[in-house]
Amino acid sequence: MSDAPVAEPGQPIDVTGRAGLVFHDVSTSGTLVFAEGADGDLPIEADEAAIQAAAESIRAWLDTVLSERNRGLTTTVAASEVDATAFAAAIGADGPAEGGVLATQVANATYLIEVAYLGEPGWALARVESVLVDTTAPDTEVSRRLDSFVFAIDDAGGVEFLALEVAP
Amino acid sequence: MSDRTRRTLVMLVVGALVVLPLVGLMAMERITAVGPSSDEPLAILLLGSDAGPPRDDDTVTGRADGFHLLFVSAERDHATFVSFPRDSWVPVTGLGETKINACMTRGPENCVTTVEDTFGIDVDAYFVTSMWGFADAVNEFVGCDIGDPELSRGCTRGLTVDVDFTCSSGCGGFPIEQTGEQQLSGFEALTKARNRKLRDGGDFTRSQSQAELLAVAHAEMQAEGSIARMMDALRILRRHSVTDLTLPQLTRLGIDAMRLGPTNVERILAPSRIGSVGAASVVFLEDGTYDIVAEAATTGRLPEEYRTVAATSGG
Repeated sequence: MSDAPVAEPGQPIDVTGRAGLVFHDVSTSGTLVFAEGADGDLPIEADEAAIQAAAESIRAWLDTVLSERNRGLTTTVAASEVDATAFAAAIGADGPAEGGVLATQVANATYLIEVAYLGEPGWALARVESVLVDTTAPDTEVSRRLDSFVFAIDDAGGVEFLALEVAP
Repeated sequence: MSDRTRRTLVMLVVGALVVLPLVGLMAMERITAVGPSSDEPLAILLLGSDAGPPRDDDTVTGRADGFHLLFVSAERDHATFVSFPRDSWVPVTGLGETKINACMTRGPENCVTTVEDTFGIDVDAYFVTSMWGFADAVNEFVGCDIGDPELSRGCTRGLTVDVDFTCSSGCGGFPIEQTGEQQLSGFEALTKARNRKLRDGGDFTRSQSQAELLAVAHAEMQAEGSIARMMDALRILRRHSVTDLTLPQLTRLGIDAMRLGPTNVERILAPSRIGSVGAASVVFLEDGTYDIVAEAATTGRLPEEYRTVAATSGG
């Protein structure tokens, strides 16, 4: 029998990301041409409550992604293959591991959520910066990663995760 | 967890289970996405209006001098542009036999109906842009977004394309001073897309150039391999065109575009010949055009016998 120590999973960390929100008006002008300053500088009438609600749904989704597998384990159960990919990427599951236990966990995260608006929110891009700490020393920051998530937003305000780009 | 959040998560889990069989790793290793926007081939009608700035008329009721069908395979791994000369003589819905570009005088939906009736296919979506709308979009895409066209002169960023003619005045856009591969900013690209008088092949050549520019833009976006860049391209496309797609549909289409390798994008000018009807010079589509459209609408590809003569946008 080996006397080698067995790697222990880290303590669960629930992530509640801080979210920043911007929205883009993607309506067309009648001419399809925009003078300088027409994009972003002019006041736009928008349903800000709907935009905020969509962003909140995305923030909650990201919190779940970053929290549920956030015990330093390389493997666990996810709802689907695409979710599993998102989970794995977001917590850096492709990083260093020993005996199925990752060297790092996500300590906290910041989300920049961009919502496209055309009478109602239609899509969103969320850039997620995650702070990774040592699984065995949660106060020690090891690295940061920046991943991007794309969502469709339906006319009832529901969000659907569509795509993920992991940090290079 | 709030009820709303719980409901959202349940929807996400259920949605994810539904798309499970469709999940696949995209061409770029860093990007993972749900499956194609549907499991059917796509047919998208791309129209360039002769109205709108610098002219006064309404863009979407002008004549469709740019007229292209973009077909994408069900797997989203192949696509084909079929470009039509504006003078193609076809039965136009509501107008009888006339030039195909006249269909849009009754709105882009009328062009959709015309294509569907003429070729017996379903068209899934349309996009319309104007001359300056196109140039403005290219400027934004390449980083020459200066607003006033005059101020964008001298911008050195652009789409990288080969140009086989020069033009110093009356070009349709900004002058192009040299031939060969170069970067064209928005209003220089407009010259390549519009000018027909200085070029062999006239309207046929410029029609091919329009599809080439679109394919180059796709290839450049794809080469960057960034989801943020793709989303930015979608925003630009949406702002500078009129389309019947919703934003969620457009998002899925953008992800489809990221999936598609540029070397698998073919372009062809609809086989046709010049003729006349009365005093009007027109273009008659040959049987090959109907064969090409039928095949592309089914597979997203050209019939095998046409693949050697078609251009691709990369590789």
